[in-house]
Amino acid sequence: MRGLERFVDKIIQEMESGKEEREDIKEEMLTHLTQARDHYLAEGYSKKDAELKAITSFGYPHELGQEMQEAMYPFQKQLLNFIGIGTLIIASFMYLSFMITHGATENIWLLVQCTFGFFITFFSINLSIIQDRLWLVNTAVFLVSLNHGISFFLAGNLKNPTNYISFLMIVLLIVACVMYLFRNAWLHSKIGSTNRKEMLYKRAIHLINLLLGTLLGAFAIFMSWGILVFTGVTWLVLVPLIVLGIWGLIYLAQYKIARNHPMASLLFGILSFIGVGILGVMFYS
Amino acid sequence: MDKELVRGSLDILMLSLLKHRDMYGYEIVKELKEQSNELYNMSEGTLYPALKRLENKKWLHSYWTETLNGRRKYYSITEDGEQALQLKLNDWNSVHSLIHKTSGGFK
Repeated sequence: MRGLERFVDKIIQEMESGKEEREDIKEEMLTHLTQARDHYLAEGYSKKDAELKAITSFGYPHELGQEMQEAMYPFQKQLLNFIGIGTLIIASFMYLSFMITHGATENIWLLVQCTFGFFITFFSINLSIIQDRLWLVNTAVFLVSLNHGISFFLAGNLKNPTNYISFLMIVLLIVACVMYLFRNAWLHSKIGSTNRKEMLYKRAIHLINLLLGTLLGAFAIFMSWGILVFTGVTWLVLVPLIVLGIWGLIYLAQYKIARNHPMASLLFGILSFIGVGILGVMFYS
Repeated sequence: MDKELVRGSLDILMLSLLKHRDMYGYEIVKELKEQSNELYNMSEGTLYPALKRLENKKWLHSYWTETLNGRRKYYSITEDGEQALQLKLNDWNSVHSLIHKTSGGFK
């Protein structure tokens, strides 16, 4: 039996599913394999050979795992990979451009780019790491999209045509990040909910919070850039980040209480959206 | 059997089988093998991603049942699934007639 379990584990490794989902799929495939093995046992094969025949008839585990991943979360792995590698490519391109035209780069920005680029690429190749830590990938993608916003302003200091090439790549990446985050919310709420009502509430919460996050993110980018330009790297840059941190915590809180108190959670979301809107209006007047 | 041909017809095959009665994974594979006289030689595991895709399209509905040997996940076809099957069968028949005509009738 353990041989069959190890085989199914290899399949599950290729998927970004949460715990409950993985257990269900594992159970379903194991019952299939056990029945197949018992069939071969009845035909006279030894226990070891019966297990081997059941496994061979089932297929190649990595291929099967990837097909399951594509069936449940189409294109997400590829998007994540694109974001990771794209980040590294832009970092290299802008680094070279800066070194050629200015002889120096923004080291902190470069460090952030490379770290995120590396980790996101790594996650996209080893989905099993993010299986129960989807929030980690989502946060990384969100933060890297903010950093790309900063990249956009930085690229303004480059000469033609390297600045335009950079602008294009950065915009593509930011769009990819937004697509990834929204699709993640959509796909995982479809699959992880026990009933339709719960799914709809979860989707509404995701939509409100992601829209809010996009607005706050854009605001944070502009603010950070302004602060960096006028005062340099000071603690003031932390202010927009703290605002985003608060948004993140409220989002998380809503998500946690959504399962048992969907109505309350949704109201909470709408209120926070309105609250931020009011703050925004006050800020401008 | 040409593997690519079978792979492309997997959806029709599964929807057709499930139209008659609800079945679980292993049962579906057994039926396909029996009805094709063992000519069906695709990897059994490829059934599961296909089932997931059909379920996501709301053409299939799945439910767990307790049996003597533990839980089993059964699949049943939905109304949308039956409609989709009919459309696919129509397409299939059109292709079949076309091939029949262009090959001058089967030898």
